[in-house]
Amino acid sequence: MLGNTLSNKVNLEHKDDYLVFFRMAIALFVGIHFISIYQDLPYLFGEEALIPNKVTDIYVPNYDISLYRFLKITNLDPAFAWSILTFLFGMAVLFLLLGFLTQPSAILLLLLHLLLVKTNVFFNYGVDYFTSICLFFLCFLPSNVSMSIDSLIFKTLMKKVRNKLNFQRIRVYLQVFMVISYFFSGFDKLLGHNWRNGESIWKTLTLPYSNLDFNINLEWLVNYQWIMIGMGWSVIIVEMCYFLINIETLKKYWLIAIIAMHFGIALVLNLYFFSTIMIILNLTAYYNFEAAKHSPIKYPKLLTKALN
Amino acid sequence: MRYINTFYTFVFFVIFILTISVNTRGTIKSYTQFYKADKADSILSKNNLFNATLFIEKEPISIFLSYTGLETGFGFFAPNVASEYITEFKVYSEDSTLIKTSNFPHLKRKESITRIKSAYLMFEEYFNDDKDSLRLKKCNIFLKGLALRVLLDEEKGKYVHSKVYLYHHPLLGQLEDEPEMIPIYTLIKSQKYTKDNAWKHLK
Repeated sequence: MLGNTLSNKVNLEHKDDYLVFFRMAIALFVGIHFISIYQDLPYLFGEEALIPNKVTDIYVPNYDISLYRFLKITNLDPAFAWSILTFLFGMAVLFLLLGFLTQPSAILLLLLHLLLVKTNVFFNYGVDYFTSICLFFLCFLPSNVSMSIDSLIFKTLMKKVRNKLNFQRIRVYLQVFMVISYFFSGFDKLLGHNWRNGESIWKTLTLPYSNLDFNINLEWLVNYQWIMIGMGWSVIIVEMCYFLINIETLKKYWLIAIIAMHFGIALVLNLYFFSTIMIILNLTAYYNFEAAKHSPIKYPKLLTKALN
Repeated sequence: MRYINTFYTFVFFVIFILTISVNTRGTIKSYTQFYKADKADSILSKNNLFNATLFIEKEPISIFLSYTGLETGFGFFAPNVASEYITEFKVYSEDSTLIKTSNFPHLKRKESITRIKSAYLMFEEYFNDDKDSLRLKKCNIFLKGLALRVLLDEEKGKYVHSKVYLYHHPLLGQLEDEPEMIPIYTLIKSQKYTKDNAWKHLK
């Protein structure tokens, strides 16, 4: 029994599946997110930006980098600079996905991402900060120890790193980060009286630009205000008490609840990218990749096992 | 290699301290500015916890926070969900025929619209009394940028009437008293732009 527990512990310490998932998922995410705005880049961050870049530049601290500043210093042709940025962006995404020169690729991608979004800070929202955070994590996390080109090229080094590293401890650190993030997210809502009486949920559902993609009829909810009070409190509790996810028996339910919440945000507020990156972070921190790997390919069972 | 685990412990320890500090500061600030807007500055200056986290604004730390994305507070949609602003653009031809009505400039991707919308919060500056404030000028520039984009996309367009409304959907409490209440659109800014007003780099 004890031997079994010890070998499980040793096993867990050397399991880095969650980091491989994190690296690949973030690389794909950043690539797709970039493609999703590519055609509108001139109006967002380019020469024809809806708020001219020289105006937004006033609001960017001196120490920040931005494409606007870079062009001003280098006097490069903007069209040429955009092509270079796009090319480098694509290469860095590909390298990160394949785990080739992983940490330098993550650093390059973070810098390119910042160059872009800091050019027009008014067009940024939550997803951009979380993208920066994830890329920053990938700059130093050992996400290339397995399933990467790096692990094939630097075999000896990676073997050494694998034996020395406590991957489980690193995962716990990521979990603590998530707990802190959700705690503040929930606590800030708790302070708002409208979250406690259901008005915020109602307002979210009825904002003029939400729920446009699926047009889900939610007006009937007005007759069942207790649902919205319940939803408001559920969001507060699920976020603020996210630390309870660490209790083994609650883990499955809490993970499902938080992912369901982000699905809800995607469906109703149509914030697909924000929801996706939050789901990636949650799965990285808490999904049981090991159980999923050894389960037969029966999806309901696989899901249950993986979440257990 | 020997201290690699210690390295990760140290890095994450720093991240935790900074995240807690940024969010504590953000929570105190947003709560005070929302509920005690009139005397927020004086309350904040006397708040010990708020002052204790002032170090995150010192340059080496603020640079680190900015480059890592950790500068953000996580209180999204808190303490309360903000109101939304709606824009309306009506493009007219030379003989004043209405040729197009739109709420946004034509952008090819939904994600781009989401980004533009995130900047709409700045329109609350139109409630500011100081008509010469830099923030208000920034709002005017944004509105002009949006309006000109709509206008320039219409070959036959001569001028555009742009309007900004504050949108208010009836609250649950209000619907309880008055079930038939409809959404209210409050006009907060109206401005006309012609193609001659376009910035040089757009012409």
